[in-house]
Amino acid sequence: MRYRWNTYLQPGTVEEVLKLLDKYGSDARLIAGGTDLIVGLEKEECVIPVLIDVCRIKGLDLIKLDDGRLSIGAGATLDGIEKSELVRDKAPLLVEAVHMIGSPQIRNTATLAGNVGNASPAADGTLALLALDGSVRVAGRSGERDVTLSDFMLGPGRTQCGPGEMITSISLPVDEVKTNSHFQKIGLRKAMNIAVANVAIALSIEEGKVRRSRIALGAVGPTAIRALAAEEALKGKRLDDGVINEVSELCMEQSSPIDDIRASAEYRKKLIRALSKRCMENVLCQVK
Amino acid sequence: MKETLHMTVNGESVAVSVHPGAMLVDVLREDLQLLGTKIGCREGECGACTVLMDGKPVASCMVPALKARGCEIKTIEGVGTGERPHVLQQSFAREGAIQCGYCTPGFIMSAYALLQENPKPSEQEIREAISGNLCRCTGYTRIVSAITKASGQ
Repeated sequence: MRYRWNTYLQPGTVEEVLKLLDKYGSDARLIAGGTDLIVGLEKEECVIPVLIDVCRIKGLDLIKLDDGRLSIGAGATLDGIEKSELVRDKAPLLVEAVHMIGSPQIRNTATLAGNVGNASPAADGTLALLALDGSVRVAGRSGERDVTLSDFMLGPGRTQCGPGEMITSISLPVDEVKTNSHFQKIGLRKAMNIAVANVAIALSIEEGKVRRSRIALGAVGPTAIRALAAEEALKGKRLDDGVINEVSELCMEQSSPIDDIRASAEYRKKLIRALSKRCMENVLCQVK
Repeated sequence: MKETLHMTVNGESVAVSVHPGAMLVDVLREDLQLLGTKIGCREGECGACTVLMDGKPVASCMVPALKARGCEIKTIEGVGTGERPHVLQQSFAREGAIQCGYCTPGFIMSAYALLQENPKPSEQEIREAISGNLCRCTGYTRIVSAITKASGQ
């Protein structure tokens, strides 16, 4: 039997985790659900001396309202998140996105923090959080800090969470402004697949006009990105076919995909245009 | 350095001495001789290794065994046996939803969990519930109808 790690620790507090990370340095890796980590270890055929499981930390899986923000603990599973009444009420876009990750088996084990920390440019959870102005709370030797999602993501597989640090929660602002949102993902299958392209849109519409817009595009850059020019173009406008077509063209222009084993850059660009259009049309239906 | 894993499997308390790097599927199969759970991919993609952990379907090939400390695990052996098959197992057999049978335990575990939570699922809900299970033989149609029939619809 081949073993991928030699020691498996299950500390009960964040402080203990940080002490262990200090003690073991680069010999230790963190595991929550492990659905990305373990697949990666199998592929790399490497052995880790120490695995630190964060799922026994009391309270790390809590989902709560905290000071005007929806806070999702790093230990909360995707299943827990999509079934949470609080998340369904305050951030339905996140529920839509999370539901498209993996399969029931994966969602019962995997965490949103892991989805963010794994830093795939195609990550569905990350994309919805970007469109929802999400932030990541990181704990380290020097204390805790909050980092906006766009600052947190540095590139494929790279985030601002450094050695000796761990994500403790993810949060997003909850205000009274009514938001309509939609998430679209296309992959090679209907489940258990990495997005070829995905789009998350959240719009606040008052008296028929767009007051605030967030458009996030995934799998078309080194990280998920906000389509800022497309967001600007929507402000103050009424959603109609003409505007939707114009803005989805802008989304396409703002994307910079590459060719890879799943799809060509050209196909991805066209997909972004189509998915942005679908998202806006869906939002239009919601407000009618 | 081996560690002792205490968990409940199919209603029985067990204590197993495991290497810290062991995966749950290997402990179930090798240490507990519960061979009904199968290994297909070791990547959490195929669902052949599906068991219930505290009532929820998980891919046991991707669960470090020590993660199951204090948990309740249910395997296919805990759902039904040859002598006393579960209604799902009877339905799968009757509906022709089994060909080689390798994927079947995993499908039954996913379907069992679904029916516990949602006793009368729609076809869409069934298909979503089994979206983490692959079958190379049947084309899925009879699996879906077996689950539908087992739910009394």
